[in-house]
Amino acid sequence: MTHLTEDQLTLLYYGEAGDVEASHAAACEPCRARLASLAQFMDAVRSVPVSDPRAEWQQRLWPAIAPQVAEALGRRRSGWSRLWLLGPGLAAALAVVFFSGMYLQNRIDRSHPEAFSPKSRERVLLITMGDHLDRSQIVLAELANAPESGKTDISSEQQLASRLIGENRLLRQTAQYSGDASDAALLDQLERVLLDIAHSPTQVSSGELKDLQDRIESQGLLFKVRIVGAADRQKGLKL
Amino acid sequence: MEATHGWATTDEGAVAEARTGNPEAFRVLVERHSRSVYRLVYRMTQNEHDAEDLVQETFLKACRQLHRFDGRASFGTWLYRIAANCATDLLRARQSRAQKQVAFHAETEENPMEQMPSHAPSPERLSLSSEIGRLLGPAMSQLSAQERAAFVLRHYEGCSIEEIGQALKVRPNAAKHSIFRAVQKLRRALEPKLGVTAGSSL
Repeated sequence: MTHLTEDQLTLLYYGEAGDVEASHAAACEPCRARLASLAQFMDAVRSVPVSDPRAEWQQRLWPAIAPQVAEALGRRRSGWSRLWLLGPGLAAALAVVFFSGMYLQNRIDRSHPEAFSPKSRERVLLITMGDHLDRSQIVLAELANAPESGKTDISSEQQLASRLIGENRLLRQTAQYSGDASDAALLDQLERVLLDIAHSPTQVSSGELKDLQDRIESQGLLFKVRIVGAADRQKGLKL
Repeated sequence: MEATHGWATTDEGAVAEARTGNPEAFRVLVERHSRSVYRLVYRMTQNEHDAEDLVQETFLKACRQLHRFDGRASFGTWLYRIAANCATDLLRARQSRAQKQVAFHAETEENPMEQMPSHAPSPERLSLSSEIGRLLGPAMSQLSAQERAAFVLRHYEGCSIEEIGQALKVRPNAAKHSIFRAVQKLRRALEPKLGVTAGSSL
């Protein structure tokens, strides 16, 4: 008769062995003795007490982390709520910039240059682009830094990505229309990643998350979004 | 605190309130879970100061990742996963440094277990539990970070193999074999010191 291995005895101890092992242990005196020996050892290891943490340390714990907790909770709350509020305003600004560029540029600029000058239009466009890339960067960074676990809930990032897709499309078309090839290429790359995020399952596996992270990191997208976004905003504010 | 706010009566309520940006709600969670998290990481590190630092790190990580808590597991279980990962990272970093030192000082390094007195106390003189308590720290230090985490989560916290796999981001089979190796190593290290042979009766 083949006796149970130590690993099988360990599973029996934890109540995770199959019926075959349990039946064998019940019928086999040497295996029962070995199981009893293992159980005595394991029970003794479990009975080793752990002292409570020092009272002084417990009193210091919350004051030590409270500022960072408040900052983390506050930043996330204000950041997201501000972004949701900004969404419709940005879309409206984009629409103004886009349609003014598409249909009114020649006529309005020639007849009423002071009403919507190229400079003011460029200013709105740059600030809008900066804000858009800033918000996109938050989505990308959240996913790029998400820890791998069995399943990750990306529903909040998806909601924002879905809202950003329309704005991104308008900005990309504007950039193409105005001949800004580098911005158009960046927005094109960003749009494809935003679409991937928006169309992913709400709960992604570690493999799916890794794929998304690879897309975000590919061709330095996150870095470019961060740099171009900051530069556009600065440039727009200076105009 | 807990008597005055409805949200403070359950972890779910406190988590929901903390997500609105209320630090006091997170404070409730810290006060409720800090001791159990401390016990978990102390068992893994066998060091009081490491455990204290790891509890802080665990709660700060939990706070920053609170939006990712989906409520499928209890908040305590979710917190344990973070704590186990923090402790595993610390142990891995430390073991990596130790291995480099061992490689450098290969001739002079000795097994810490061999430096311990090898007397086998009689049951009359010392209780088994207290003797194991004295020997357990050095024995645990012989386990890899993953073996320690898997063993502590299974043996002391009663986590299932599946939960341990999720916590340590490994397949269930890998988690199971980590536990097997941990048990084998602990028995080989401790039972001779206790005057018995691994696999025989205590």
